[in-house]
Amino acid sequence: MLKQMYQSPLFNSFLILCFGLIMIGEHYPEHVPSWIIIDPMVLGIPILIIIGVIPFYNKRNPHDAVKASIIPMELREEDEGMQWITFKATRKVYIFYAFAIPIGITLTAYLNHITYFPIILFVVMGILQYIIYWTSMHKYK
Amino acid sequence: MLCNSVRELRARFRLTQQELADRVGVTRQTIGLIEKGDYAPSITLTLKISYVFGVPVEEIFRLKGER
Repeated sequence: MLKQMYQSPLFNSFLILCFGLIMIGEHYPEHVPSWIIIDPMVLGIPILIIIGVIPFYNKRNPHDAVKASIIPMELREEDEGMQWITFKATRKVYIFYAFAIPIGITLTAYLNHITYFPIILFVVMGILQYIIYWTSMHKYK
Repeated sequence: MLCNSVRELRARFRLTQQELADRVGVTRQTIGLIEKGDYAPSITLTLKISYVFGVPVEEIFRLKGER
């Protein structure tokens, strides 16, 4: 259950959304409505709990342990079939970024009056990346 | 497109996807992908599948339009 949650691109996109909102609230409080300002601990405490649970989870599931790695957990590489699914999904994400980055640079230049626009852009691109990845993976399940 | 008769052979040999997956060393999802024709397996995996069923590769995998 815990590992599935970590592997879920939707979980990661939710984290990115929360992190973006917290950063905007922390650094641009005068530019956003007060209801958007979220205390960092709203995200920090659940993350600390989740991290704290990992050793107990690994002890109970030694064959399916959560390991610290720079390779994102949502990548499925158990065998050649899963690697193929990952290839298809990451290919779509790559194509998305090939278009999203120049469009993002242009939007940042034109919308420079919105001081926190780059954060919004990163959050949107991050969430879209995970949605594209998740829908692609879901298609082959 | 690569067609295959893995599903029919699996039914004939009374194997589940998981059992076949265990025998050839892949996940159940990979067997599912092969049966649906979404994924063309590697030569190694193709051979392993043919060994499990004891039939030549050509009897399991064929190109669309081939007899």
